[in-house]
Amino acid sequence: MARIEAFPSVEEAKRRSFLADLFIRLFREKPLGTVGGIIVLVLLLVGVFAGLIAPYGYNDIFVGPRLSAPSPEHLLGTDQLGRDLLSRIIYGARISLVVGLSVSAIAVALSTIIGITSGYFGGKLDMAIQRFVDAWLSIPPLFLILTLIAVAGPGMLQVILVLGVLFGIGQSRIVRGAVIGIRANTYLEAATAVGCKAGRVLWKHVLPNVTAPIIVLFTITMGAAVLAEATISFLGFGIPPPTPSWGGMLSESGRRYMLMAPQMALWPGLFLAIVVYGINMLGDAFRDLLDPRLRGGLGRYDKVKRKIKQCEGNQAEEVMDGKLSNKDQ
Amino acid sequence: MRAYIIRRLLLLIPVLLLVTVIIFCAVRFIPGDVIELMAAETGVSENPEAAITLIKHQLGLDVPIYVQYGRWLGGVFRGDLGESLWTGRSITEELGGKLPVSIELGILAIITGLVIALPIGIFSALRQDTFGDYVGRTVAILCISVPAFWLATLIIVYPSVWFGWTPSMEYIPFVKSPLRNLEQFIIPAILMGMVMSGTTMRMTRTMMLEVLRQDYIRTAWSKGLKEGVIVSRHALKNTLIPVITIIGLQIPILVGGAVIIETIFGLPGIGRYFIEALFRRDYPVISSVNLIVAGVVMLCNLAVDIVYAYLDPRVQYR
Amino acid sequence: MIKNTYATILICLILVSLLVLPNCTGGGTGGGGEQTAVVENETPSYGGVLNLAVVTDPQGFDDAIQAHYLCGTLKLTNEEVWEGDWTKGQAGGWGSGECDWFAGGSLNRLEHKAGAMAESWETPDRETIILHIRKGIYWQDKPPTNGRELTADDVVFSLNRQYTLPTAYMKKTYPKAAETTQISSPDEWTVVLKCQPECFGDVISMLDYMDIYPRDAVETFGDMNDWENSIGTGPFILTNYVSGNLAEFARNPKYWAKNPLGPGQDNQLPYVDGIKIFNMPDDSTRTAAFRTGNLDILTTDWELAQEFLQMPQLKHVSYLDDYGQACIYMRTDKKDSPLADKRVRQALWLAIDYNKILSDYYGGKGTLLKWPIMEYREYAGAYVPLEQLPESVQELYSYNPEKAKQLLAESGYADGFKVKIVCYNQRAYTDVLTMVKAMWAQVGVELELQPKEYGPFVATLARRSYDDMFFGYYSGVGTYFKAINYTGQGMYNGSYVDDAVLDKARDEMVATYPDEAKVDQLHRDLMPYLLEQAYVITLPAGYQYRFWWPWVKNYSGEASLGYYNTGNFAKYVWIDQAMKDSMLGK
Repeated sequence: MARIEAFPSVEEAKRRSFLADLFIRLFREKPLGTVGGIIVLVLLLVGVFAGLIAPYGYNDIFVGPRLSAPSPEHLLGTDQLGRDLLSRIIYGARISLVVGLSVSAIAVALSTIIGITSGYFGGKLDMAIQRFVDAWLSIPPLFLILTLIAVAGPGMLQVILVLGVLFGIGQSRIVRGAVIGIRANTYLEAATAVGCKAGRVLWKHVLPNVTAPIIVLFTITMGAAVLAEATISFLGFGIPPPTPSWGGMLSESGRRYMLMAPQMALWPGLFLAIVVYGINMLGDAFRDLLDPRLRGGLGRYDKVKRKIKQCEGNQAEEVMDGKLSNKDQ
Repeated sequence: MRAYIIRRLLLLIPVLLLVTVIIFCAVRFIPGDVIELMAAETGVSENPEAAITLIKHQLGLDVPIYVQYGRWLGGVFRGDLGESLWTGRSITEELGGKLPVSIELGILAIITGLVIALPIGIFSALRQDTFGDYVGRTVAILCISVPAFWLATLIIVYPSVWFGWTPSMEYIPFVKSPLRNLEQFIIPAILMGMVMSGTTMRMTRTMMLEVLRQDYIRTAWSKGLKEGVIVSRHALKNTLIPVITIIGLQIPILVGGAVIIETIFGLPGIGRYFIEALFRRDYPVISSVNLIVAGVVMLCNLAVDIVYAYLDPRVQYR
Repeated sequence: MIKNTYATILICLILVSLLVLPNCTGGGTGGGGEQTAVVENETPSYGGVLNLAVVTDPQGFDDAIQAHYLCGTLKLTNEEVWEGDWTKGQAGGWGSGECDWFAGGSLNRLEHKAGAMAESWETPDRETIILHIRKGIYWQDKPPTNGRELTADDVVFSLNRQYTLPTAYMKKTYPKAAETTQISSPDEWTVVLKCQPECFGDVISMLDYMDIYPRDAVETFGDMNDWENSIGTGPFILTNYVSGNLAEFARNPKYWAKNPLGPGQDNQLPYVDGIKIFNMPDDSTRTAAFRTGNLDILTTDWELAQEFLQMPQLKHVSYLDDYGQACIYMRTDKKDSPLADKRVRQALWLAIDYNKILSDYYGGKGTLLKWPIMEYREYAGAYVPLEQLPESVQELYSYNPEKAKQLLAESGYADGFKVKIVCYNQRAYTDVLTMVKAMWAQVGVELELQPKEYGPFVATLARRSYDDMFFGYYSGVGTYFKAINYTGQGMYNGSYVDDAVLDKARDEMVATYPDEAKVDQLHRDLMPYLLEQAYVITLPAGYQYRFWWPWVKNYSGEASLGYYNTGNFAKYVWIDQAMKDSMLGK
C-alpha cells in the first residue's frame, strides 16, 4: 500500500526556465545562499543608485569634523578629511560592484574561450595552450598581479584588466575539464556527423552543458576580485586614493587610524567581509544546486542516520530510496 | 608511471623557460626603470644624463634585451642566479637564506590549515544543511572573506594595546633554536592557515558529500556499522585524495601570498624579497625569484599528482 | 525550509548589529605635548641592549659602492673625518643646546662639527684642507686588520676611493670636484686635500659623507660590501645580519672616544653592550613594538603621536624635518603655460588657505614656511621667519581668493584653467592635494591628481618629466649654499627656475662658503625676492615626534649627529636595566 501512496498523481508540471527554477530552488532549499543572494542584490542596488542614495559626494571634504564618530548627520562617522563615511562606503560599493562584475565578466569570457578551444579541439593546440596556462599558474598570483599592475600603472581600468586576465587564464583549466568531460558524449559526434560546423557545435551543444561550472566560477571570481583588490591596495598597487575603494580605505587609512578612529577601519572591513561572504555563499549555493553529483542519490545522509536511530527503537518501516514518510518534510 | 614522471619533468623545462620569458619581458615594461631610480640618488649631480649613462653601463643594461636575457639564462645554467642591482649580493646566497623561511611558513600554514579545515569540513558534510553545517560553512567563508592583512593587523595591534604583547620580531633559524624560531612563526602560520583553510574546508565538505552518496557507504550502513567507523574507515580516505590536490593548488598562493604576512610580521621570506625588488626594479632578483618559485611550484604539483596517483588506484597515468 | 531561510536572515542581522554597536564610539584626540628637557644627573651604567627599528634594509656596507644613506650600519661601525658635535646638542641636558640634532639627516654646518678621525683641521685658503689625524684610534679586531692603529694612509686611501671609483657617490655627484682634487698624506698623521677653488664648498661639505676603511681590508676583500668583512673604528661591531630582518651589533671594547661631558665625563664609550636594529617596514608593527617596550625609540607623525602623548611615562620631542616634505613644482619654463606668469603663480598661492590646512590636517602645529630651508635650530642664522619677511611675501601666505581671482583675470585667465599634478599615491600626499584641489576650485582652477606608484614617481622626479605640476621632494638644508632647489639643472630645481638674480646669489654663496656666517646673511637677503617669485608652492609642514622609553638615559631625542649619520648618537646613551625590567613587569 505504501508503495502506491508514495507515487502521487503526476501532472505535467509547468516547465520553468532554467534561471527561474534556479532561483526558486535557491530560496526554498538554501537559506544561506538566499542570504548571500540578498546581499548581492543590495550591493547591486546600492552600487547602481549610489549617486541617489549617498548624502554627500565621496570627495566632499570637511562636511563634518575630522574623524568623528557616527552621529545623526554622519551615520557612519567621518574620515581624516572630514568626508562622510557613509557616502564613501556607498560609492565604494559601486567600485566593488564594478570591479567584481567586470573582472568576473572578463575572466569568464577568457576562461570559456580558452577552456572550450583547448578542451574541444585537443591535440597540439591543447598541448601548447596548456603549457602556457601551466607557466601562468606556476607564478604566484600575487607576484604576477603586482608585476602586471606595475607595468600598467595605477588606476581602476588597469586593475580590472589585470585581475580579469589573471583569473581568466587560471580558471580556464576548470572549464577545459568540464568540456573534456562531455567531449566523449555521442551527441556531439552526432551533431558533427549531421554536418554542424565546429562553431555551431560549440555554441549550441558544448556551451550550454558547461554553464553550471561557469556560473559558479562567475560568483567565485567576483568575491575573489574584490578581495584581491583589497590585498593589492595594501601593497600600494591598488586603485589610488581618493577613489573610495573599500580595500584602499581599509589598508591605508583604516590601519593607520585603527586605534584613533576605529570606525574608519570597521566599516570598510565589515562591508567587504559581508559582500564577499554573500557572494561566496551564493556561489556555494549555486554549485550545490547545479552540481549533478550532489543531487538525489542516497539522499540526505543525516536523514538516513536519523531514521536509523528511529528504527532502533521502533518497529521497521518501509524505507524506499531514502524518501521517508511525509512527516519528515 | 615512471615514463609519466620523466615526461612531466622534461615538460617542466619549456614551461619554466616560458615563465622566465614572460617575467623578463614584463618587468622591462614597468615604467620608472632602475636607472632613473638610482639616478635619483645622485640628484644633486651637475650632469644627470651622464650619471644615467654611467649607471646604465655599470648595470649591464645598455645592451639589447635579448642579450640581457641570454646573459642571465647562461648564468642560471651555471647555477649563478646573478646579483642584485642594488646590493650586489649574490641572489643564490640570498635565496638560500630566505627560501627556508618561506618554506617553513608554508609547511606550518598547511599543517594548521588542515588541522582547522578537515574537522570542520567533515563535520559540515556529515550534518549537511543543519545548523552545524551553516556554522561550519560560515566560518569557512569568513576565513576567506576577510583580507589577510586585516587579520594580521588586528593581531599585532590589539594585543599590544590590551596585554602589552607583540609577537617576536627576531628571526632565529630553526636549526639554531627551534623553540624561539617557532615563537616567531606560530602566529603568522596560524593566520595563513586560517586564510587557506576556507577553501580546503569547502572542498572537504563537497568531496565528503559526494563520497557519502556512494553505494558502498549505503552498504556499510546496511551492514550496521557505526557512523564513526563508516566515516573514518571508508569515507575519509576517498575524501582526502582530492583534498591533496587542493593543497597542491594552494602552494603558489602560499609562496606568493605570504608577502603580506611577511611584511607585517617581519619575516625575511621570499615574498618580501620579491616585492622589494619589484619596488626597486631589481630585474635580476625579480627574474630569478620567479624562476625559483615557479620551479618549486611545478615540482610540488608533480609531487602532488604522484601522491594522488599512488593513493587513488583509479587514477592511471600513461 | 523557507522558515529556515527567514531564521537565518534574522540571525545574520543580529550578529552584524552585535559586531557593529560596540564600535560606535569615536577615538579621542590627545592634547599637545611639549618638549621635555631633562638634565641627566644619574651616574651612567654599562650594559643592556638598545632596540631600534628602520623601515628599509641596508642596501650595502661600503659607501664607495652604494650611496651612503643606504648603508645604515656604517654609521655605527665606521666613522668619518668629523661628525656632528654631541656637546653642542642637548647632550642629556649638559650640552650647549645650540643644536638639536633631531632631524633625520641633512644638518651639515661646519661650525657644529667635532673631529672624529681628524683631531683638528685647517683651511688656509680655498684650495687647501689640512686634516690632523687623531692618534690612538684602533681598528676593530678582525682579520686582516687585527686591531692595528689607524693612520693617515687609511684616510687618504678611503677618500681616494670615493673620488675615483665610478660607483662612489662623490664621483657620481660631483664629477668635476672628483677629478680635480688631490688627496695626499705628507706624513703619517696629516692628510692634505688640494682642490679647485670653485669645488671647495663641495669637497669640504662632503667630508662628512665618507666613511674610513682600512686599506689592507679593502685590498684583501676587493671592497667592503660584504657585511661579514665589516671592519671600522666605530663604537660598535656588526656581529649578525639577517637580510630583511635584523642587524645586530656588539660593543667595540677598544673604541677610542670618551664621554665628553655630563655625569659620565671621561667614561669609556659606548655604554650599551649591543644594539639591535630591526627591519620593520610596517607602521602598525613598529608602533605596536614600541608600545610594548620592544623598541626603545620611535619616530612618528603628529597623529600617531597622540596616543603616546597620553602616556606620561614616555619622553618625547617634537620637531620639524624636511625629510619626505613635498612642494608643488610648476613648469615655469613652458612659455605658453599659465604657470610661467608670476601673477598666476601668486594667484595660486593666495587661493590656498594655509592656516586651514595646518589646523585641519596637521593638528595646528607646524610651520608654513618650509622652503627652501626648514626651520632648524642649527640653521637659525640662514632662516628668516615669516613675520620678518616683507609684506608682499607675508601676503602670499594669507588666504585671499578675491585677490587671486583678480590676479588671474589680469593675466588673462579669468575663466581659470586646468592643470594636472603628478604625485606619490600615498594618502599623506593625496589628502593634502585634495584639499588644495577644493580650494583652487573656488577660483576656477581645476586640479587633476595623477597619483603614481613609487618607481614612476621617483623616475619623474629624477628627470623632472612632468607636464604641468609635480608634488615632489626638495633637497635638504645641508647644501643650502649651493641653491640647488632653485637654480641649475639638477632634479631638485623642480620648477625649472632660470632666474639670473638667483644664479648670481648662488655664485656668491658658493664663493663665500665656508664662511657660514656670511653665507647665512646672503641667504637671508635672498629670501624676500625668492619667495615673492612664487616659483614653488610650499604647503605647510606638520611636526614630527620622537618618543623614547625613560630607561634610555642621556638621550634627548637625537637622530643623527651630523650629515646623515643616523644612529651615531647610540654611543652616548645608556640603559637603566632595572627601570626597564620593572616597567615591563619582569
